[in-house]
Amino acid sequence: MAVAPIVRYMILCDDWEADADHEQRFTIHGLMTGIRSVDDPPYPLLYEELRILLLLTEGYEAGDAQIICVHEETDIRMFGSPKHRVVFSADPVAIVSVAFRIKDCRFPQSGLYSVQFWYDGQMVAECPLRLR
Amino acid sequence: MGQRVIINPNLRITEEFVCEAIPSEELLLMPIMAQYRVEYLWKGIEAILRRESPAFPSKLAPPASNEVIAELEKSIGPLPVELKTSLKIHNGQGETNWVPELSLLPSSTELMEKPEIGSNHAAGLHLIHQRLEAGQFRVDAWGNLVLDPIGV
Repeated sequence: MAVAPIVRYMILCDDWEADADHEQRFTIHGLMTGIRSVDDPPYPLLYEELRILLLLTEGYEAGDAQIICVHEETDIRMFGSPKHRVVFSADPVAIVSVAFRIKDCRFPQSGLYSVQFWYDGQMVAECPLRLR
Repeated sequence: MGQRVIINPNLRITEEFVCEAIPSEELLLMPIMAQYRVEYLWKGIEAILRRESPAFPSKLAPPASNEVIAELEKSIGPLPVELKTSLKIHNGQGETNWVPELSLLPSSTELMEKPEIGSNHAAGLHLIHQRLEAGQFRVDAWGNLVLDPIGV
């Protein structure tokens, strides 16, 4: 079985900014735990772009990273990203920052969702996301 | 496929993946997602058509206007969401005749004459998508794409 990296942070937010003066420092904008639909009718909701920032460490060589969004109540996978190859450096304690911008996310109904980070076929971390 | 962008060369390895959400089968089957399902199927169909014959999608019939759809509904009754969405993308196959079974991809004119051919449009569109993905089509001597008839 592939060795999964350790997820130091998994952040859902509006945007982020890398600090040019300080390596591995990010400014997070609009940290989010949920989404409130302002559409009429509110669902199904088309969310323009879901942004997820991951800071990973202790990764080995390379692996396929993917985001999958699951509706908690029914345990149904709603959507996901394609798999992307993440390459780690030889230094095991180096931090690798990986960002996903997933466009046109569709949520069929309100409720609790789980945004999951998968690496080489195993779920490594998840973030709850409440849709209202 | 997603686009890969290095966002800050100062950082050791920072990668940003920009992609479109891939819907699950379960999501596509939810009744509330009917409109999205048709849009998604058409997106897939057009992508395959474009790959095989780049100019082909533009030869399909243009979208039906709201007025045309309103007139059709006045004449034959309310249309299913799937059919209405599809007509708003392509009002039939135009002059291409690439789908041999006309009932799978009817236009508003054909529906006006034979309303029953629109009764199961969602399944028909799904079938077209499946057959394209399975490579069940050919490109003829004039560069036109023709879907294999059912059962071939």
